[in-house]
Amino acid sequence: METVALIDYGSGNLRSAAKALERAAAGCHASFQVLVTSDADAVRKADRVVLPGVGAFADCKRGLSEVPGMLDALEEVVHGKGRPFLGICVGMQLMAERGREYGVTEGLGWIKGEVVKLEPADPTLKIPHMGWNELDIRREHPVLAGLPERAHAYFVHSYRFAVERPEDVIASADYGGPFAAVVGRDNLVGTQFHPEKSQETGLALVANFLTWRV
Amino acid sequence: MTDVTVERIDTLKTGDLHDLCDAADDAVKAGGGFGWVAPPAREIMERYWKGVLVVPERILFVGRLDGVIAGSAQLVKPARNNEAQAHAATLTTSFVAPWARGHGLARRLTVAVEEEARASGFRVLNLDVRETQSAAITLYEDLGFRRWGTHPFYALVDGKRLAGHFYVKDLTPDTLHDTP
Repeated sequence: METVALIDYGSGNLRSAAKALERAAAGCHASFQVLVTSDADAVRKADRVVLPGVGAFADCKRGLSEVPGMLDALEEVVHGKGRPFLGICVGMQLMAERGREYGVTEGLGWIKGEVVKLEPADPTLKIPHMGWNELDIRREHPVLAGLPERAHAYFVHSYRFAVERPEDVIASADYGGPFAAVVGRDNLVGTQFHPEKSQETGLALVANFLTWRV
Repeated sequence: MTDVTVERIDTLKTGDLHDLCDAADDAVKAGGGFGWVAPPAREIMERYWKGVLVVPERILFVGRLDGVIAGSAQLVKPARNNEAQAHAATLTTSFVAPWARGHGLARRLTVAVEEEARASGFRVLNLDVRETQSAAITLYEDLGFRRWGTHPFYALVDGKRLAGHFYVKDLTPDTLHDTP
């Protein structure tokens, strides 16, 4: 049985993410144990890691740093052991080098680029961006395998990940201009949208993540 | 396949309470017509929902999408001393989180409230809605609610006056005009 650690660091309600993982796991041939945890050791031992995140970049980074040993455990499991990692929303943004929400905050630095304010070209577009948008898949990736051509996903965010290297953008979406919707390299992947609220698209992505062989 | 359910609830488990707060929060941010203009602090939101459950005149329904609470609606009964309006209940604070729209959850919630009102012996179901809630207006009219009036200054949102429409549904149309 594989364990999937969903990191609980005080960033909002994890129930919908846990339920989506459990639901996707139930549809897979392999068996998975979904562990909602704030225990660095459990994360270190996990076969797969999911980092959610709701709210501001700085708050999330602080919350994550305050969990004893968690940053080290993440480095070890993700970079040392090369286990598949999925970041969701601010959990995805934390993979950046830095965030510019309420001052400059250092990110995990796993993907080059920074998190900046969403500034749609059309000033009538509301911030936060909230709603369903079509994914423009830039390159093939196992986590997006089998998704329909015009797959839609559910976004809630006021900031976007300005990714430095174009090859790290797996899919984009448009809200008064394109922005990174799925980023990734090697064993790392992150979604700006909420797969746990994106129904069929989200469930397919989560199922793909669970069976992703890096 | 998306699993859509609606149920009446009398107690909220911690997980459900968090889901309900998240869904309400999303609906408020999306301008969903819930009483708040901006989402309140989480403790206030939690206290609100806990409060709803202890008011005897309020009956709470929640809608779930794949098991996660994604919307709710309330049936409000008249106060016990209100004899003249003891026949009329009100549907209030109906919302569906933006991520869960398009699955018929609002319709299912409205029908559940209406069925509860009928089962409790009410003859009239009232509701009111901001003029900007066009999807809700279409739904209520489709379900047989009749608009009887418009309040020109129903809500004040970001300094802007919004009108609101008032609807009624005759739950027992044959007897509604009877005199006792």
